[in-house]
Amino acid sequence: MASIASRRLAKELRDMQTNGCPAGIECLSADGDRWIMGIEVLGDSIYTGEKFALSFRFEPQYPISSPVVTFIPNFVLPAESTSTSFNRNTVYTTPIHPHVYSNGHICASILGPEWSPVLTVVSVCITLQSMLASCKKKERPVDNDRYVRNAPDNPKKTRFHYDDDTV
Amino acid sequence: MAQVTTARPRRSHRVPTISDIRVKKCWICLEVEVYGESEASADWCHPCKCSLMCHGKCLLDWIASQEQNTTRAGGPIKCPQCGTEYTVVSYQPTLLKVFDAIHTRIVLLGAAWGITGLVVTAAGTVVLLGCFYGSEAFSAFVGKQCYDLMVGDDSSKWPVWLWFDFGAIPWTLYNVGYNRSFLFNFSSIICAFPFSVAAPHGEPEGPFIFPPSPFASLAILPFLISARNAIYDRLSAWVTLKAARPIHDRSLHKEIKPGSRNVSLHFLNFRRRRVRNVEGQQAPVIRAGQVAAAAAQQGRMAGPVGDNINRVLRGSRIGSAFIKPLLTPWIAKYMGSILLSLSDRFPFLKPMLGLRSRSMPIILYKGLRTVGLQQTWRWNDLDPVWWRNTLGLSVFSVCYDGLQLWYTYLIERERLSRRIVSRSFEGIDINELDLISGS
Repeated sequence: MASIASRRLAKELRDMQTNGCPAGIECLSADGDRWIMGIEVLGDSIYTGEKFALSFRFEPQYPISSPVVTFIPNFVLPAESTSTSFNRNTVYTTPIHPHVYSNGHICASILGPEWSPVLTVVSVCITLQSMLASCKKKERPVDNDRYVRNAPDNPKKTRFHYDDDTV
Repeated sequence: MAQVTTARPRRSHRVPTISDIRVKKCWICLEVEVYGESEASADWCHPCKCSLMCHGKCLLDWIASQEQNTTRAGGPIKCPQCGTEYTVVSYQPTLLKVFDAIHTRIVLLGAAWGITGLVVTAAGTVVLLGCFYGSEAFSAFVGKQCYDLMVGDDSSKWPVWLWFDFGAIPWTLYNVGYNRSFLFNFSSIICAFPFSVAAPHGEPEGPFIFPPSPFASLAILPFLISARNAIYDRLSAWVTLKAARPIHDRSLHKEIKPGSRNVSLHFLNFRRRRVRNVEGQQAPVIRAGQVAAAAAQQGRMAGPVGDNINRVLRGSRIGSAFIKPLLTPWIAKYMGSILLSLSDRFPFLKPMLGLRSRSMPIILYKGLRTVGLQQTWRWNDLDPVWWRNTLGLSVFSVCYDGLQLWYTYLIERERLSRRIVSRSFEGIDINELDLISGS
């Protein structure tokens, strides 16, 4: 299983390198089962000009099991990264969004029960990018403080309640 | 598989299958296989109606993981792109089906058994507790002698309907417990017991005996209750009017000295001071948080008189909804025994309580019951515990209503007496103030 995961990741990475990432999405580092992707909302949106770092962690069962995806609070570009769009001296934080907790956990059904192997790292990034782009009001989830206080390290252990498809 | 080589030229004659595809890409592991470039795998499949292809093993892994996934909504497993249900065939001998069926039923049966057991145990406990409570309440209310005569103390000989009857008592009490008066509560206990009471075996006594039989007390109750409600309503209207009078309390109108540190303390304390009626009491040093809490408490009490009690008691409402009605029989019992002991000191109470010089000893009744003989008896032969309990509870009810009205009155007075304390401008630069000239 582990070899299937690493082979699939290698293919996803090669595909990204040969075909390039969609606009606003960038691979900041891809180290084995831990990747960091940078995303930026393009066009007219309340997040215009902001950049965010997404952490991907892949379990040995990937792609059967979904990746663990969180926004990285207080992200600083690692020295070895070759990124040109992310600034080395800037600290990037999590977006203020009704489905993103301040610890970076994301309440999105595609990362939970609606995950399927047809999704890839890039398509997850695109989905999150459009989730940010369609947001009209910058606010934290209503239960943010309570959740962040008790949240498990792995957001997959949280039983999110997915009720709002509009934001 | 034999057609692989001839697939392309004959494409127009038949619908192509997975083996006709030149470049296959598994949507799960992303592995690519180009026809002719590497060794062909036999595991490719096209299980749905869209362009996705995959390895059979990859898809079976995915389906197996979805079957284990408890967060997934039930139903068949479908292609994530076109939504086609996957069709899986497998070797299922009859024996496997039999085992499966047995296993499913055992699981269902176990769950059903567990739930039934829990429900039955819980319900049984509630019913038994209710019966126990009901018999104790009944005994407290009518007195031990009457209880033993009517139902006996051996619960194994009770008829079935008696269990139901006693079991109903706490629920009846609870249901009427939301009502305002204690009179309601004890009416229900009497409502519940006529069914459980064996009628006297003696000659009929006529409806107008004194003290009245429990049945006769029951007949009086509706009148008593409506009278009580009418009086209570009038009194609370009167209390509202009274509360609106201007307050003549020197401590309230006392001049607050400029520079006094206790300006807010005065506000905080004045209710306490008025209740205790202590003049010149040294106010303790209180921090801002306590002042705010007290202010919040007072704010909560604002509102019309009728609401005040409810607001004050909000926190304990659930507790009192259960405890108050369920305590009623024992309140009646202790009020009754207080009346009894008062009657020793004040002999004029004795005829009111229907006390007689002698009553038949309980032992005699018990003995007669055990040998199966029916003794003729009349209500008048019994010590009328239920009657003094009824009177005692009425006294209690009146006192309770009175205290409640008094409390309501004091709360309303406090609310209407509030005023804001004005401070001097001490400590503020006098040049910043726009003062009336000449002062």
